[in-house]
Amino acid sequence: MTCVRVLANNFAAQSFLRDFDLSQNKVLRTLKFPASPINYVINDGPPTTLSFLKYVLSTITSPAFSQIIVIYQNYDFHGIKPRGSDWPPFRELSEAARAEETSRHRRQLKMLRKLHKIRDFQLVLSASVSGCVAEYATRVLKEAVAEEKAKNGFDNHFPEPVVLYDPHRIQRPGPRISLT
Amino acid sequence: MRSGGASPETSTTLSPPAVGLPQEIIRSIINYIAYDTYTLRACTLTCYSWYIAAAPHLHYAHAIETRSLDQRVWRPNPLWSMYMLGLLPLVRKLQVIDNGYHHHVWLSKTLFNRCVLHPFLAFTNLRKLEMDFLDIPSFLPNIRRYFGHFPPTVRSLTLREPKGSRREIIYFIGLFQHLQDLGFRYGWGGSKKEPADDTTLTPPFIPPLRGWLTLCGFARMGLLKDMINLFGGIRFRFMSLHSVCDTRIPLDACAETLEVLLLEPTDPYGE
Repeated sequence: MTCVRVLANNFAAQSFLRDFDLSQNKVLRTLKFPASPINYVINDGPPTTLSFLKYVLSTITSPAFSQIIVIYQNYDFHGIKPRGSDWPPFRELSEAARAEETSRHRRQLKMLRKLHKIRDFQLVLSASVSGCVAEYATRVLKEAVAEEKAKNGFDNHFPEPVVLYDPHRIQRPGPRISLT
Repeated sequence: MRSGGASPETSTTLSPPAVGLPQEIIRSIINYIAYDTYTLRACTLTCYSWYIAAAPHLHYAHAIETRSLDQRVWRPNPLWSMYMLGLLPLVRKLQVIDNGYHHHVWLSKTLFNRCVLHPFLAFTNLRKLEMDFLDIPSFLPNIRRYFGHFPPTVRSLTLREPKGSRREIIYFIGLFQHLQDLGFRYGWGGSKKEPADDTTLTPPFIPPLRGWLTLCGFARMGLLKDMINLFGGIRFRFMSLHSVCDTRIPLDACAETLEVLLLEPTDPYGE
């Protein structure tokens, strides 16, 4: 949680808000941010991250803007062990825990729905996870989208989010050379 | 594929079907698992054609620990072995890292003895270069002797807490004439103190810098301002900002070009 707290402090502090005024950026089309701060908010953390994102979104004037990409990493999924643990990095989750994981991601979607009141955009849920867990991560996200669709539905104002697997930001795990 | 010209009726030693696949098909299969090192390693053991397809992916990225370079006595090491096997030209991404928490080993000229310099010069096809604690002044004025083979291919450069004045760092960046992506990573609350500058140092090239700008824990806004002045502006299309002292400078400098803004870099170690 430390990194999330740091993130919230650095990005959402009032003194920094003006620095994130994007009204001068004329061709901005995509805003990206990691899922972890949103997760922090739904776990009863302070809503500063959401306020910050609302502010940033409200300053965008670029006519090209159309997309928000939320980046999910290995640690955003309970079923995946943190870095440095055994391989393959799966935890055995009970059905109930799996359902809770899906439900948690659906709550994130509900949170992101609030951003649509500021302006329209296509939401993309991008799983930037290790290759061997891509299937698990994308399945959880798709289930969360399907659950949200069944309960609250999507419309023109909040179109169905796109789930994709994006390995490009993942560092290919090449060997670490130690000469000693 | 059948062995030794035996007729289909009499042949009993059939090769596995995977061996007979066209190389393009093998390449497509391997591309699909390019990020899965464990499977790639298994594929290299299948046969020669699978090895040929898998090896570039397997050796795509390498990381060298600076701490391990800091030794006085030469001895056989994995880097030297890879050099002798001719594998280093396959490497596209090189990280020279230092994970010391309290004491950092500077990547300086003194570390480049024979068994380090020779392999280092064999990284001839690098696309991405990441270096921790690079001591730029220690390499001057003959910095091209050590890094001169990188510029034609390197498109992405990330420096973690480099040592050097603004001009020295900009001069180093200016060595890479085709550089598109640039990153600076500093610890939390990076120092704003600037060392004395040598204003006669002029970068040899003006890199295009039209890809990603990544700034993390960045407070050296004077460095960014000087870079904008010396390079005649910056035109990054993608930007990743996290804990930056004054985001207005990069955002305004790229007001006409910025298409994608990432408001916190993903974990640099990718996990």
